[in-house]
Amino acid sequence: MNEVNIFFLVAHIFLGTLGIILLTAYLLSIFKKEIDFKWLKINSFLALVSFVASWITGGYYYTNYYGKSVKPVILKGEFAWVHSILTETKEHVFLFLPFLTFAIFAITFFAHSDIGEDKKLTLSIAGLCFTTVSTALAIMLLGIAISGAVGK
Amino acid sequence: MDWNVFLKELHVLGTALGVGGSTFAEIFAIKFAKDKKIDIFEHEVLKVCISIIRIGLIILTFSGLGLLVLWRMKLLGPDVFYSGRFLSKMTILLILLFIALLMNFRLVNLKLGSAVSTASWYTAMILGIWRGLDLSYFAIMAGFGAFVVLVYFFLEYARKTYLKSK
Repeated sequence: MNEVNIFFLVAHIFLGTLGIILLTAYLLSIFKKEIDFKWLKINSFLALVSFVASWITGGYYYTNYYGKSVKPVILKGEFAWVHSILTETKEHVFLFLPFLTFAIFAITFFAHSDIGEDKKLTLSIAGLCFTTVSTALAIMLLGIAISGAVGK
Repeated sequence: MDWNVFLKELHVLGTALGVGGSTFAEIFAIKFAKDKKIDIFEHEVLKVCISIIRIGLIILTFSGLGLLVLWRMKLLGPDVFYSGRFLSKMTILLILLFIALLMNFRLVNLKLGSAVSTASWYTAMILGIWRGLDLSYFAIMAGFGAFVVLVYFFLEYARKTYLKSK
């Protein structure tokens, strides 16, 4: 693996994990007695940027390295199901993340005054946030499992 | 210093902060429960402990992912990534995250939650140190389950003993 591909792989992992941490912090923040809306806006924006950037860097890594060098090795080995099930799942479910995060970002920007006041809205956005964090965590675990399928 | 050493040191630091933070959170929680109310100072002390645990978890996660990239580049493959010890560590990290969320939203009994959290941190540390451990995933998780029960009763005993002491 050359240095450019290593950079994109590390950036993909780092940005995805950063998105998870930011959204977890968001989830913990919206139930505080005194909500800091400025922080919520910054947080949701950074989470959106992180997931979109992770999407792009992951896409680069996939098209320039994984598809050419890793996929054929996995498909020839005893863990071919890792690609046909786990990678296929990852690369499709992954598409939802930026859109889910965009929804959180849009709600935070346009309906922030109702967060905390409107219990139904607060619970809905918490549910959306929890779903996004859980999905992103599942995708991270799939990525780890896929990395494990490539041995010597 | 190469990346492997740097990331391992960070991983140890994250674990130390998490184990230390959760241990002191338990000690202070037991001490502050004596008068059955938490004042502002006590609340601040517990908040500091929780912040340390969160910082430890973040350092542990990023350094762990860094180590995974190095393992991936060394092509260590299924022997490491699909080993019982590694899969158990991943599961325990997830348990740590979800129990923290459940405790934050009071969706789980706090005594049970704190026992699971403390047991998870100690198990993660033991699994990290015990490199030669060659047990299946289910055996390790069964051991973890037993350890959670042990920690729960130990903390209950410590609470009762401390309340009776003065």
